[in-house]
Amino acid sequence: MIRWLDVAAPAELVGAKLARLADLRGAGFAVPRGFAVTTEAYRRQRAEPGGLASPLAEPLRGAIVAACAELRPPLAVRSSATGEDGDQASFAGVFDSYLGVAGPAEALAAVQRCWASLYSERAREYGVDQATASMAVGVQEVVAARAAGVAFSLDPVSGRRDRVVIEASWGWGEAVVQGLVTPDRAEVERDGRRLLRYDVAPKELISTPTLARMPERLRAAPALDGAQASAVADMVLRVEQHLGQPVDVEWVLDPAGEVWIVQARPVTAAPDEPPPPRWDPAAAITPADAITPTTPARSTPISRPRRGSSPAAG
Amino acid sequence: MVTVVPVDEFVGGEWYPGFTPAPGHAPFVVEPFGRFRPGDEERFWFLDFHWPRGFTPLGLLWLEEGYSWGAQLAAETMPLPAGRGIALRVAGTHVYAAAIPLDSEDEVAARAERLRQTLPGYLASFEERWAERVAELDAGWDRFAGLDLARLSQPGLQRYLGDARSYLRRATEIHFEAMYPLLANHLAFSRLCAELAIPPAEVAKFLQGYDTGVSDTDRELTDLARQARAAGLAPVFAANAPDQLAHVLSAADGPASGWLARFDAFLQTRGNRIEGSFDVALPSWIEDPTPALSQVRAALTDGEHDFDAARTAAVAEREAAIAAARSRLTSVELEAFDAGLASAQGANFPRWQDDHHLRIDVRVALPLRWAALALAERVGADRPDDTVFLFWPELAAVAAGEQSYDLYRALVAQRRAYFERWQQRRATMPRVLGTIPDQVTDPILIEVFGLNRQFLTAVSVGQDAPVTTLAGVPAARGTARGTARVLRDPAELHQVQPGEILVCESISPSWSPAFTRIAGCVCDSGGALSHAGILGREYGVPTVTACGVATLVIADGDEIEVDGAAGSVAVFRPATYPATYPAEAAGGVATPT
Repeated sequence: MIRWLDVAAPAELVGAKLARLADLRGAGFAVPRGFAVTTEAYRRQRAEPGGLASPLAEPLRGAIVAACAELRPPLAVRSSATGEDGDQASFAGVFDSYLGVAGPAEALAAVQRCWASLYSERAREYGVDQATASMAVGVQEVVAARAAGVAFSLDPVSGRRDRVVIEASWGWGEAVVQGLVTPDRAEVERDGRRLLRYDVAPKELISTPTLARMPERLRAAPALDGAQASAVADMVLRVEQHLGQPVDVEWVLDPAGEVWIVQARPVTAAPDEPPPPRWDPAAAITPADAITPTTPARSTPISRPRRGSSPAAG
Repeated sequence: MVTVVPVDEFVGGEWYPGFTPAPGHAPFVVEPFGRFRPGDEERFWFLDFHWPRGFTPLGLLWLEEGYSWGAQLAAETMPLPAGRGIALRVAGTHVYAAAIPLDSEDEVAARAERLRQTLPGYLASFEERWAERVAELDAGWDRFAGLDLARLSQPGLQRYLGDARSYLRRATEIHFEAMYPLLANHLAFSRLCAELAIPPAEVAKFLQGYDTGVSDTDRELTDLARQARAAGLAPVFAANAPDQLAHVLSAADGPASGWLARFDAFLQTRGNRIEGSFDVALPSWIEDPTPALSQVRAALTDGEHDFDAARTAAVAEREAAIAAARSRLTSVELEAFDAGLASAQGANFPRWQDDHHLRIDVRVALPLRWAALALAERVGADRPDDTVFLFWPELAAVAAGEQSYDLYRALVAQRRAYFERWQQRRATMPRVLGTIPDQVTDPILIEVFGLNRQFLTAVSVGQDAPVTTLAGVPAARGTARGTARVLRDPAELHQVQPGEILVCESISPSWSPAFTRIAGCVCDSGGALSHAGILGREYGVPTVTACGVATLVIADGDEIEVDGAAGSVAVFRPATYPATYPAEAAGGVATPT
């Protein structure tokens, strides 16, 4: 009923999110050590007389406590629903996650709260099928974060594939993911991993992992240097290669300079890749509908957006 | 909602006394020049800001066979794919311009194809072509400048007058023949740079630091200022208004006369220019040196300007800006950028602007003016420039001796009064006439006349409606315009109506249900990879994040437009709002001009 995330595990057992992390850790990527409380455990607990909210039944309880003892606290407890982070939609941030869980007792409570989040109003509104969905929960070591953020193996706004886009801030990545802080932004060229641009943002808040005001000296300081940005990009591109499709990765840079993968998922919506820039002196004064392209625009849909909507053409 | 500004007042309204215009009597390329006519209200006309004084009767000749002819001829021969040049109308004495649309999409496509064939070759050989035109212009100029009008026979003056008219027309043809391709080149390069995320201010730097004739005049005026200081004339300049200086200096003895001799020598080489463009009614610096004396006066108070240092700094800044931009481009982008940069520098529009301004705009009407003034003197006109208040057929008849000038003496005074009355009216002339469109599609007109969305909105809803633009991070592409709904609490989410644009501090997943209803999303914080961006892209909702003060600046009910590709949010505020509001004082708000 628990499963260590050291080798690949089936998604129906650990959820797509943890399955991907286990797969990556098994392939040698830097993924924090941990285990999954499986969907099977979820189903058994749900079948208990008191349901999901009743005290955890043995032997699950004992197994979790024993496994926690093998991990170095603090711990992170994260939801991993079946269907979540699949190819259809990101479900980004719909379910609960807990950082800084101190030990087994808190971990047990956090697991139960993760289960409960499957039935939240938020999940229902996001379109989670609560009748059929199932949920695994990951319990992992927390990596000390010097800086953290999100990185895409393409530019999700323009659709360009020639670069990795990174958003970074000091501390853990939650403030970046939730949009509570305006992060630094880096673009790294796919070929050669060269830093193309780095725009420093005034970063007002920091996840420590609880939310706090950013120390003054760090506000306007770049959270990554060029080599670190290149390292993040290199990791993201290797993940993309391993999974065989464009990815969106939440990463953490530890004080020793290692880049860790906290989450990785396929990019669920991005525009078609635009045609490469081309010099045409007549382009600006020629009405768009009078242009007969010399080379047909390539169409590389990354995945189908949900609910029949499509990214608006820019 | 369509805004129509009536043209009725100018259709068959007041006109210069004593002359009945016959529209279409002169050759035209696409559409004749003339006064407003019935039906013009259906088109969109904008006041041409290049000529704020209005036109005298002889000045109208240039509108007809210079501006109107030259712009349409160049548009047809190049050809321009989006329009057939510029149509002109006159209201009182003031000129309005409009686009001349093409008849069909097939024609647009055919012209676009022809342009694609002709434009690259023109640009590649621009330097030689322009040198040829410059030689032609200079040869014509030298011929006119070398003739002493006072010594010409009456038939000689008549011929000179006709040649000067042709010269003005030909110079205007040359102006538009070069302007359109160079502007196309410049706009294409600017657009490429925008696509490569290079800010417009950087693009200007890439093209700066090339020599133009403009600095020669400025250098000589600086030298004259230095000599004026050495001659102890600085107090004279400081004590007198610029338009009094010529008189005061001539009246003074001693060092002033020596300095004036040098100043006159300067005027002989640099003074054949007017303070305006193509207008026969304007005096040159030689006739009225006030502008040059004003520059000397400014140089005396402002202190020395080191032209060489400024030029060196401009070149260094250009090269540094190019190196910085190139370092940010991928190898594929670099290929396009380098090709565009070479084209934009070789056929350099900003440089040509300075160059042609001196060679064409400010001087090519002078031979016609000289001839008109010489004729005025011969016929004993009351004022030296009375003949610019004759229409061309009248002037030609007087020059040919077919008509006595005495016939026009009283009329000229009336026409001068008419001109001055309309000059007074300039400030209140409508900025646009006819039917205001939602947008102008011809990029050339947008660039030359500033007919962007903000302008059109301002003239549609009234001059006093403030328009504010917020800059943020482009997070999900597409544009949307609608009513703003500012939310501070997800509990208020139910208030959001379909088609509204959500404005909030940041987006958490609990806001996701709104994304099925909203047309756009604007956030104070967050990057392109935050929840707001993810949801925006997933639901196809144009989204801009990190606007900083959106929830402060934007109020419920404002009409706003989100451009998710550019990362900008335009706020169109109803005219009933106060002119200033607190958020502007807080900073972070750009007000476009």
